[in-house]
Amino acid sequence: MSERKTSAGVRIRQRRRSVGLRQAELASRAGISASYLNLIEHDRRRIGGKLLTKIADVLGVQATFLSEGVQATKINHIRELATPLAHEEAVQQVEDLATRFPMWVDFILNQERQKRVLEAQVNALTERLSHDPRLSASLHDVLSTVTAIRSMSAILSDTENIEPEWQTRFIRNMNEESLRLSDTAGALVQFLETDAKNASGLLSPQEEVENFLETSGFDFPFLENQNDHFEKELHALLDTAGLSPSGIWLLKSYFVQAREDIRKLPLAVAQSFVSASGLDPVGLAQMAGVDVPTAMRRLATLPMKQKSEACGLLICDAGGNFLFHRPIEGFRVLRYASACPLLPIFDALHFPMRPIRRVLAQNTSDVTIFDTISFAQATESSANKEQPVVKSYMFIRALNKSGANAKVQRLGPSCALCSVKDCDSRRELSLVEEGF
Amino acid sequence: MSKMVLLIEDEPNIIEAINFLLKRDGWDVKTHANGHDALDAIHRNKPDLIVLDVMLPGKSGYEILRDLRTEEDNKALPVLMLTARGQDKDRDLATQLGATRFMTKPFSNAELLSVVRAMMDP
Repeated sequence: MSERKTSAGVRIRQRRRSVGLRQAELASRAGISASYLNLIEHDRRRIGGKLLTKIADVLGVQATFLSEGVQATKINHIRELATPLAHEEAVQQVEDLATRFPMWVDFILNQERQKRVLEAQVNALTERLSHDPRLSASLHDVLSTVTAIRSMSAILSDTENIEPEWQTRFIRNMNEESLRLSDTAGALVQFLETDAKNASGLLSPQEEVENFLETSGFDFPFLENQNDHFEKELHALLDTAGLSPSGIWLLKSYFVQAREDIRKLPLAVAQSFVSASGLDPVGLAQMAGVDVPTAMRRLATLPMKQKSEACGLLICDAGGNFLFHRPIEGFRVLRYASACPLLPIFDALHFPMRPIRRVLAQNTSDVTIFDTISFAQATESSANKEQPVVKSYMFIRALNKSGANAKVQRLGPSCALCSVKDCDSRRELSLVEEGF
Repeated sequence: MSKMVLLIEDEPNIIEAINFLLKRDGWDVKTHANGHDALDAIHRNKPDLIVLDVMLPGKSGYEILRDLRTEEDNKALPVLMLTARGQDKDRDLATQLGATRFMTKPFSNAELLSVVRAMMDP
């Protein structure tokens, strides 16, 4: 059957089956009955507008893909890419291009995808170079040492009749500084070489793991199976993950925790709750009799095909260090710069076991609003029973504008990138707002 | 009586080298090695010029400069900022906060002396 002749109903059915959803599940998440969805899928009811958008969201595709097919989606995409760059006449020729040269269209779209990946890597590296405290401290040390050596050697060579006492002092100091320079430069090279060996480039172990999980779509069927092959399958996966030793250690910890979470909250339970009540970790915890962090981790790491909207999760320890981050588009978390102390994830540390709900927006100009629930919990340490392990969690969902009736708290990813004025918690001057 | 330079810098060997250089050039030099009470040191010494490092323990050179410029008596006090970072945004920030001159490490002794002389006798 040619794509032009394929109907929206058929595309919905094909997509639903390819992501492994039953008709009843898709219908429930889209807010319609299974029998009505059945009529749509068999072209006995027309579909459009909000319902088409809702179903497309659940199926993780653009609405045009369902209504017009993959070809139309590609044409729309190319047209969007071409509009700011090309002449109007060229934009109008996009459809002709797609019809006559489909392989070139795929090539262009593939280039665009690669460009986005490279942009993300450039942003990550830029952030790293700007904010990585180890790199920054090392470079500062090198420059300071070179300054001292340069100045002292120039004094020794240029100063006539320098007193022997000063001469001895400067030579001794230069010897000290050259040893320091040697150590610092060696440590710097080792640091960069270690990172170069990482499969993913200049990444910390946490970033390696988060990238690995994100690339896999958090979709690991062997976790959900809860069978006796867990250890075997886990080791096979760790062996082929291509991460650094620290990354493998962290990834293993993630899977052990995830398996425990799945044991407490099986997929059927989580799915059924999400279908009925949406992404509500506190409600899920109450319904299933589990703790809130378990529900947060379970919801945040459900593959997209199991839920109708994206959500993010941030976890920190009692020292405020970020341990895990599942990003959500539009909400920036800087791993190498000090985070905003007003983030509710830190407030929760002062009020353990109490969910703190807050609506956030980053900076005064950002339009995306996020619904967050933060919750801190102490668990007993196996190593030291007198000192529990405290972790704080922040579950993040994007709100559409109509849902933003609550008071919005505005804050920045870090002080340097924050445009909020008159903040008592400011630690350094902003680089993004005039007037500082 | 010679004019006084207050050097606020935390690297001992840079302090020693600059101290030596400036004294040889005829300036009276006082030194201070941390950020958190640098303003007290400025008030106490009443220098004619400050050589101020950016990366200091306790309080950054930027913060010290910002606080200094809120004081009526010190709005025009010449300040030469020293930093190991030479990015445009650092230079812009220093200028915006009221630095008179800005030098990036590593600098030459001749350059430092030339700038200090020019700032003392503009």
